[in-house]
Amino acid sequence: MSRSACWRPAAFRRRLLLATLVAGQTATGLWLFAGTLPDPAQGWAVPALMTVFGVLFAWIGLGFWTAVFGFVALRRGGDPWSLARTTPPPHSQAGSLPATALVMPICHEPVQRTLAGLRAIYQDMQSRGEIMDCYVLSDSQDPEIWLEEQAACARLCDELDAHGRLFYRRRTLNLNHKSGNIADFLRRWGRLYRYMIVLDADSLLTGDCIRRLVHLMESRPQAGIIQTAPRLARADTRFARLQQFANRCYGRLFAAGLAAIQLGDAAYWGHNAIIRVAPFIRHCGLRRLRGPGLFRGSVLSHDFVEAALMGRAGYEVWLEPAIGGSYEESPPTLSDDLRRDRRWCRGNLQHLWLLATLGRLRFAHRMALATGILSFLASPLWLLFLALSGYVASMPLAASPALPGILAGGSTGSAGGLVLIAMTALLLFGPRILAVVDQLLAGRAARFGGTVRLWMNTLVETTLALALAPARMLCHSGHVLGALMNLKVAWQGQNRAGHTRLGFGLRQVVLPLVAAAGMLVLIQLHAPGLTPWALPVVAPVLLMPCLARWLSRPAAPGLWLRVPEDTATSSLLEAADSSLPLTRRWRDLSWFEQAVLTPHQPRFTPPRQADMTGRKRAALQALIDRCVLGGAAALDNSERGRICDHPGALAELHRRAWSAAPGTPWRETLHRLARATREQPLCLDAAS
Amino acid sequence: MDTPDQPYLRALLYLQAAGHETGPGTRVQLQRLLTENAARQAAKPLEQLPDTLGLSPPPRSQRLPPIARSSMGYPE
Repeated sequence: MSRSACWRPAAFRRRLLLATLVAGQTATGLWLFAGTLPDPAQGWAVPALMTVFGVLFAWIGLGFWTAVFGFVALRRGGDPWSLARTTPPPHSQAGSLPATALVMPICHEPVQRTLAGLRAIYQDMQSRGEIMDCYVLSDSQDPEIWLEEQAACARLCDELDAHGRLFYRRRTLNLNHKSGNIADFLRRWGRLYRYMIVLDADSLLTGDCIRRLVHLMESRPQAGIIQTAPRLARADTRFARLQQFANRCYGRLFAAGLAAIQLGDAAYWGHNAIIRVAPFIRHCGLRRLRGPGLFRGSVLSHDFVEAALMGRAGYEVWLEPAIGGSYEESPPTLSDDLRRDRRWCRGNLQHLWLLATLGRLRFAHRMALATGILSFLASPLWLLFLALSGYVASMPLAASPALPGILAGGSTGSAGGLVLIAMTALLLFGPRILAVVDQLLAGRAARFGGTVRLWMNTLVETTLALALAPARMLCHSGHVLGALMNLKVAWQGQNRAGHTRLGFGLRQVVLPLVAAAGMLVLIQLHAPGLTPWALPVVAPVLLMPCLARWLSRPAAPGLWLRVPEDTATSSLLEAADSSLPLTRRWRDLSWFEQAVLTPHQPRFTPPRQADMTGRKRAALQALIDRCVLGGAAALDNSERGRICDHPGALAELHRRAWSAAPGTPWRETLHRLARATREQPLCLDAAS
Repeated sequence: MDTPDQPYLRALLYLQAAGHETGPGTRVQLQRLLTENAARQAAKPLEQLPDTLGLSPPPRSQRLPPIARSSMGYPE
């Protein structure tokens, strides 16, 4: 048997074991649950409730057993099949890596923070003697953002002496979102590279990590994608630190478990991964969906599909959690987290269509797509479960409820119900306990502030996660409903800076609040006995605005949910945090005004004749005339972008703005410029 | 500099915005140019001013980055 295929029997045995464990646990749960219910002959509700319970119980069981697999793998000193374990560390000389591109697609991201991260990565590579080509691929449409991106990239090239190494590309037509942006890069420059490392706007990879990834690809020609398990870092708000603690404390267990089950059939998470370019170009092109409603248009959650297509083409996809030095950031607030989930939900539900229409996918990748779908469908299923169990509990012969969805008593007596409650608690909280035990056994408790603190923080995280769970469930149910109704989702940059957007937050919680309050009133009116049963679910939702607001506040690093990076931060994270702002902007001038007024050499280049004739020229001329008369405010973002995109138009506006008559808006702008240059020739504006 | 309304002050502001050194020597030179050739200078675009005055290009750190059309620095 060839080395390339020898992991498959191990993978089969592990998946069979997992399926047996989940099925066995679900069957036991169903038997116990049936004992707490009234006679199924009483109607449709009991079988329906049993079905929904079975799906949900299997779902939480899958998470539990994945964590158990991870625990066993980590206690055995790592997975013997892992690429990182079977491949010795690189001994090649610095600078000997094959052609690899670092690719960072961005869209309306915070420019300073994003490019400061890229600078830290580039410098970390430089310090190890490795230089790679970096591509910033922008889909930003707002000129106030992309003008700053361009300025920052130009400054970055100067500062790092990376001319000819660091490239900025902006698409004016944002076809197919992020996957289209990567595809555009591959069409233009893909043939120049053997590998590409895809970064998100908040990704950070150390030079060692990059070197290790390339080395693993070199030593494993069958590998199409190697995915790292990024650690959450740079969390500033309480919510982000909550996520960071969960990721750092429990994430290692889940990642190890997932990697152990998937082996060479893992998923691609869209960033912090290395990709073999040639097969990716050949096999992973995504067509626009041609189904009805939600299933029409571009594929939003492209990464899982690309992994599946890579697997279909015979290449391996590996998740390698043992490779360190890979970081990303958490959304800073619950509101931002839910907004991202909304996009993911729509994207994951689209996979239903792909599961039905894509042939020859590997079984493991089909399962990965299915679990991605279920991760969002679980919320409406939970809601349905609560509704059905409430209905069943109100039946004449039903036992009184013990907990939401679980009835005490019934034909097997209260003992069965109690065992079921204990089992559910074990499945829900077991992974957390296992993760903490793993951290203790691995001697890592000190990194979390000591044993007592680790347990206390786990308790805090678990309590808050429980409090947020019903609100997430209602919001995700709304997301599923919205996706199935084909309500469009805006593709915008993520808030990574922790600025709380109260308006957006309130809009987002109105629906869950109204739903929860309505539910409580209905229960109180029609079945007051069930009110205590409903309170554990409804009360946290009613408190969500206050909780979300509190969680969005800045957290003191090291005090609130300590993680290893608080005491032993990496030089990469330090470099990313301590970077100086990259762009220079005159105070009180917008980026558009600065672009118009800035004198620089390219203006002397005469515009091409083809650009300056016909209807395009007439339209641009009308925009220029309007802008000269009314100032920057006379144009909208798209119109300003069109002028900045055209050197001839920008040059003409530049000349006319500088010769503006007294009393006109541009003369007023020149006054502001004069004040700015008098106070400070050019301000370093980090907040711009 | 209080106002860019006067040609001299506007020209000076232009040079400063471009990142040129605008010390006493440059100012005197600029004043003389605008006084002696007022009509001809008024007709010329301001971007030709550094060439007319024979100013060397501003240091890179003082220059604002150029605005590129969509992209910068395509690889070969």
